[in-house]
Amino acid sequence: MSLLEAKNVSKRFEGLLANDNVTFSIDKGEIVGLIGPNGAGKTTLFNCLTGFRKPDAGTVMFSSNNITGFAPERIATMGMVRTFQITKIFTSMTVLDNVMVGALMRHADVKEALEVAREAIGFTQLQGRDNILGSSLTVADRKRVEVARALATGPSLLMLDEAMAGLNPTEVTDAIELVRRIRDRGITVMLVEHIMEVIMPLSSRVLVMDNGALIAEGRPDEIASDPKVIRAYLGENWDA
Amino acid sequence: MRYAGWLKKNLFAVVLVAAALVDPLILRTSFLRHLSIMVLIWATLGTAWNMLVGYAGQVSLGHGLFFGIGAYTTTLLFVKIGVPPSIGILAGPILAATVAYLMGLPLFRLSGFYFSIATIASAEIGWILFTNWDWAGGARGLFVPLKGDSLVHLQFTTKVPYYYLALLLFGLSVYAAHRLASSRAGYYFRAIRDDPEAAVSLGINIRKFKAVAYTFSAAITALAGGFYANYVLYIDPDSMMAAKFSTQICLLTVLGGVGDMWGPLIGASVLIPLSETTRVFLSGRGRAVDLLVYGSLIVAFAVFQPKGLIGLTRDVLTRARRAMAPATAAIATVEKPPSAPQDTGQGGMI
Repeated sequence: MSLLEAKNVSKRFEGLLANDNVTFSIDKGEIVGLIGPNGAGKTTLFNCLTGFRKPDAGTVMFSSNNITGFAPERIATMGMVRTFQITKIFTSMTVLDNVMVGALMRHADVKEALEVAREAIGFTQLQGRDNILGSSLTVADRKRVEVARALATGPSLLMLDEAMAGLNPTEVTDAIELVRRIRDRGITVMLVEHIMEVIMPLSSRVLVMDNGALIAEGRPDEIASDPKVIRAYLGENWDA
Repeated sequence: MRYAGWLKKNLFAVVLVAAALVDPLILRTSFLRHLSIMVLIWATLGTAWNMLVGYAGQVSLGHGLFFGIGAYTTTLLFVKIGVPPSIGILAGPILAATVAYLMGLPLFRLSGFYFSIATIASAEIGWILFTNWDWAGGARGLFVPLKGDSLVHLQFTTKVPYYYLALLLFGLSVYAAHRLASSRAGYYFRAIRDDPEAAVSLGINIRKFKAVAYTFSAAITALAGGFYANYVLYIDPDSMMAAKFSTQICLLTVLGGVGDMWGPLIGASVLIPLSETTRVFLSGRGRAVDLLVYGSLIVAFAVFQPKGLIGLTRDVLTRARRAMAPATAAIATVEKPPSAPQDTGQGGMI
């Protein structure tokens, strides 16, 4: 049984059809990559799934509940938690307090939440940075804090929106390793990336979007040799 | 040893409480005692306002409405149906909290400036209502009937009991604010202030928690209003619901340090004596001189030290510590000559 299921999801902005009849599902325990060229509609789809935008048509099912049109905070408390492409750290709060905000979602008691937050900080290897202010973190650490914060909420599905954009090669390797460890904890992961090098070794399944529509779906090696995907990425001239 | 450690950690608070308790023994004139009481009332207002604005990031410029609700509720209950103010003072916060909650439901659909404008309008509406409401005294206001020294009526013929009640009021507000700030709500307030969208992504119902901050803030403000009415023994719409009143809460908190637990007290300690002394010594001719002086102060702080007096103090302390640091490093280099070049380099950096 699938954990997340999108059926015919469409979203239009004025004249632009950002999501065109997108249908797919994600099973428990998977790491699913969503790729596509810039402007393909990946982030819009992410927003429609997590409740930050309401789809114009179609349904989203999560853990067998129809969550189409639910408020984003409600979807988060149900267990689908996202991070942001451009990091949204609480800049005037310390790393620990940032993660605490996540931990308090399921643990109203501050002391209990503190333990959960420390665990998430340890898991994401941010220990020793507890008292650094959000505003003085590096890009890589900001991304890590966002992941720690999301993990502290105890999600069943983690939605990472370009969690690796802007990282250097070493940091990317660490981040890939982190996503694997998250999956090993039993958390299903869906990640948006437009870098093939990240998606290919990491994902168990890949979804490809172009011009708002899903154009391919399959194992990374299948996707890499799919002519439609090559055309979307490299242009018509490479068709032959 | 445990107590010594606790004392060292809370030295500032302990000194403050001790000073506050003996304050009437040192300040022996009625005017100085009046100043202390006003400082405490305004510090309470700043503390309540700070929870909504400094922590949750929602700028209200209409808190005079809640102060007025507190003052009018206790006075009307006493004048019209004879409920003694010691009981009536508790009705104000309940009413103010209800009004804030009901207002908050639509108002928190607005964000940023639009919320602030709506709060200004709310206080103006209160001001117009009470100015034209003859039963509640209208523009002439209401006098609280005198009862002599009576704790039940919260009336005293000397300033000292008022002082201790004001201290209790301020202590309560700081305690409540501190409890709230260190609870789940406090974390959520700061998260909402820093980034509402990220807060939502972590399951926070931001309208609900903004309403919590607004309701809490309104209740404390109304309690202060109730106390003020029974201290001054005269209330009118102009002195509490006019824009000047709401603005002053903002001014003193910003001057002291917005978002800091002790900011409002420090701001009130500077501004209220300034305002009261210019009013007393310049009387009619000096009207609004106080506003001129601290208007300039606010501008200066907004430009040079947005964290207010408390931020300035912390900066000075940090600089003093850093000035001490090279001296310590120098001693270390004397003790360990071989590593000297590295150490001096570090000392110079710091």
